[in-house]
Amino acid sequence: MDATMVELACQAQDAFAAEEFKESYRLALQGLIDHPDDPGLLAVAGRAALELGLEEARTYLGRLVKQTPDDATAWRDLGMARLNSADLAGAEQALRTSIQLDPAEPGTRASLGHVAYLGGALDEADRQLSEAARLVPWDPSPLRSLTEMRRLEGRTQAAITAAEELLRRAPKDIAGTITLAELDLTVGNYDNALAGYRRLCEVDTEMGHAGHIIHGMIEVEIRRERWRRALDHAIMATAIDRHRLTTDLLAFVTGQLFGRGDHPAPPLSEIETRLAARRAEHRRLHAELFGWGA
Amino acid sequence: MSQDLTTAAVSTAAVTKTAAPASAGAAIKTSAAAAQWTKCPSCDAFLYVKRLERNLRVCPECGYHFRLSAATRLAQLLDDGVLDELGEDIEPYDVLGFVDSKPYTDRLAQARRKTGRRDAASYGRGTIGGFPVVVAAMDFGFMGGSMGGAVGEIITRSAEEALQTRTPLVIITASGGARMQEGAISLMQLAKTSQALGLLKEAGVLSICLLTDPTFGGVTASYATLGDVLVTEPGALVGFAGPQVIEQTIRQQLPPGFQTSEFLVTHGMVDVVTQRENMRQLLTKLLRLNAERPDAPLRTGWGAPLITEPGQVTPRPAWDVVKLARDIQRPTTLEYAGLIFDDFLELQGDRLYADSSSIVGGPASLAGQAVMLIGHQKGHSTSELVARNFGMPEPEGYRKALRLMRQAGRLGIPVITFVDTPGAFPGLGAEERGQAVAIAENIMEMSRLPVPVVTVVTGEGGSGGALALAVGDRVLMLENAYYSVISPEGCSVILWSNASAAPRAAEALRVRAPDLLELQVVDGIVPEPEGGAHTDQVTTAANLKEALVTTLNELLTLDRKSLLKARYTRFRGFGTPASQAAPVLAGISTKEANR
Repeated sequence: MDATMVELACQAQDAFAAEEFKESYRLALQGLIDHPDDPGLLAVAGRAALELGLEEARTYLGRLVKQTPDDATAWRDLGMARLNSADLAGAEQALRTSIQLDPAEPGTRASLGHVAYLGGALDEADRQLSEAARLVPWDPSPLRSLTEMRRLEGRTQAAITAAEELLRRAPKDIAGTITLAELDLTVGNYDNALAGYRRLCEVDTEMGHAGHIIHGMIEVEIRRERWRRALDHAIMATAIDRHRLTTDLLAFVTGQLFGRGDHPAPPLSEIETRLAARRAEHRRLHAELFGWGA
Repeated sequence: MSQDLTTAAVSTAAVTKTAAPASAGAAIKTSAAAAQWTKCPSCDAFLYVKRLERNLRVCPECGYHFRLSAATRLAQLLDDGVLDELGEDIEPYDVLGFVDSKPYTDRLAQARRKTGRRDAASYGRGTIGGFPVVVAAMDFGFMGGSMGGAVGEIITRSAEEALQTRTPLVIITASGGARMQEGAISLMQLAKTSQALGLLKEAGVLSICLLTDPTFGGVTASYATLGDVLVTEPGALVGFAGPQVIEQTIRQQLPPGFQTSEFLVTHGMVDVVTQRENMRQLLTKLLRLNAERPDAPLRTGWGAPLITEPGQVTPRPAWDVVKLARDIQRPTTLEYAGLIFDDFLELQGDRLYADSSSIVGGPASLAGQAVMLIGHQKGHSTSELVARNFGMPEPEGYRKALRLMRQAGRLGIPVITFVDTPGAFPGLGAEERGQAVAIAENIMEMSRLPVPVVTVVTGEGGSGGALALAVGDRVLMLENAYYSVISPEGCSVILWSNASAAPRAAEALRVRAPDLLELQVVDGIVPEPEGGAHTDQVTTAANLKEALVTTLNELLTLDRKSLLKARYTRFRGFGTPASQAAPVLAGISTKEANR
């Protein structure tokens, strides 16, 4: 490679480092005209294309792994490029190769875990994400996925374990706190669930979210039939919102304590269904506001 | 509370020439990219963030449109994602010294840390599809996109900038409503922004509002719904009062899909619902259609020339003409829109109650000239006819037409109307919602529109329901169309006491184009192929295009005053002694006549 070409390759890499992906891609392609197999240029072209969301990423990264078959990062990026094109099987194969070359790379394991989950291999997904979490003990992101996957698959106790570890790493993680409180509620850990909702009062200060939290607290007390505490929460709830559910909860709890009043109260089954929907809405609102995992 | 990495990664794509939004830009390194996964709030699918971004943050599994920050939205819509930001001096103020569970100033500081923004909106200049725009965008992530003094100032300044430079304004909304922490000052922003939009409208500068999920309260009740064109994305929630408040008030379960964009379009509140991937093209199309104002006369030579002498047409029996006008295969407005116009964008809704499918309309391009095309719409099969209510509009159709005509009047583009209706719909609901008022208002307002109006009766011209789209500077007819105060059958029943005399009634009413040309009700006849318009749609459309272009070339040379005067004179003349044939009862006194 002559001096001009070296200069070009450096410029392409500098542009990539500066996140000027279009320029980086252009420079790399310019260099590849004369040096089509240069690994440096192929890497920049492939990774810039990946950042730009171009199909060509898999072509350049595919050529790169042929040149450098022992480069774990190249395999990983090829896996992500294939994933970007919805090629799940190809992505899994590339990610597995990458992990064989560099078993200690947590990002690759996390991605392989997700790919395995998408392919229906639940145990493999769990194994890869658990390993990724072990490799980066300070990072909550693999645990966030692990908790959700376990929750969605009904592995509730395992999901609680993952969520607790997540909150140990990131105590102010709102999505994690919502999930753990809900999981505790599901399995009957009412004290823990209530503690979770109390923590949410401190960390989830978004306008309009307080109503969801207090409804969660009422649900805990309804589940364990502590009607006076439920009534206290229900009265608090009326000061927070004008939601119809709040009125119905107040009527329901009052009915349990003092007998039927003049406001018709819905049956318990309806209350439970609406509270479950309310929890899901809280989760969705949070995700819409902050994305997943803030 | 940290900003979501995925959002941060995307926001780096929005390049501002001035202050870029604070974001964890470093997170976009490839080493971290491998770990970037998120979850769809709608279907719970795990999504690779880069794939999601590539899909413009629309879930590839279920089509859920993720909410976007203002920066990401602008990066998606503006050419090269570049905003030349203005108004950087605008800051929020704690005018009330407001404290709830924490001071307002703390909430502002928290929102700033979270989003890297000064407040919930920003504005500046940019281009979309090469067309210059002033754009203002709201960010729901900043205190729920609530509108206080700063947001109101940003929107107002954007409108003023658009007015001063006569540049189209695009406002992207996302808001829970007015900001409580600024009390009545927030409320006053509704007035401040609305009056600015009002001035922009008066000046004839195009404004487009993109209503994104969610837009509520004082923002919806002011500038968000005052744009000339309102567009939104699938599933977006838009309304005045939130669904929970409504449920609490009326104590009823709200229907599925309440206040979604699909609900809004059905109820006439927005013009277009389109997928995010098409939004940029849609805005470009609107801007292009608005910009087409050629200096030179429009090119002619598309088809056969317009007939202006009754004798140039060999008339068929009137009843044959009526049957041809009603032929189920006769071309409809939407078919002519595709055959005659270079481009057309259908806009929907009366912004009051509903959208009517019996009348369609929207901006179009005729030989390089922007026009507003409006017409009755029928169909070719029973199901199509039912869906279009057989081309019989309810009041919502006329109000939609009026809204579009007024818009054309403000923007200074000619109006072209195609008439093909048996009549306005005679129904209970139509009466309850003021059918007669809607027709009357259309007739009156059309007579005052400050732009050229060309009407073509393309099929059935059924009485007031037809005239409500037909008060034009020039009224043309297709050769085998008919135009009448009443249907021949209706006339037959009333005057001959049965419907079988309809052919005689058709002759007597003189409903054919040559008759009406002679009576000066119409100004020209567009020739049809021998078997009728439906036998050769392309030739019919070419002849119609020729007629429209020729007529517009004539009208576009007139100034507003001359145009309005001539239109007034045209309709003033009907039934006046000097302008009609000799009186029927000439020489007979009123007394004798009454005997």
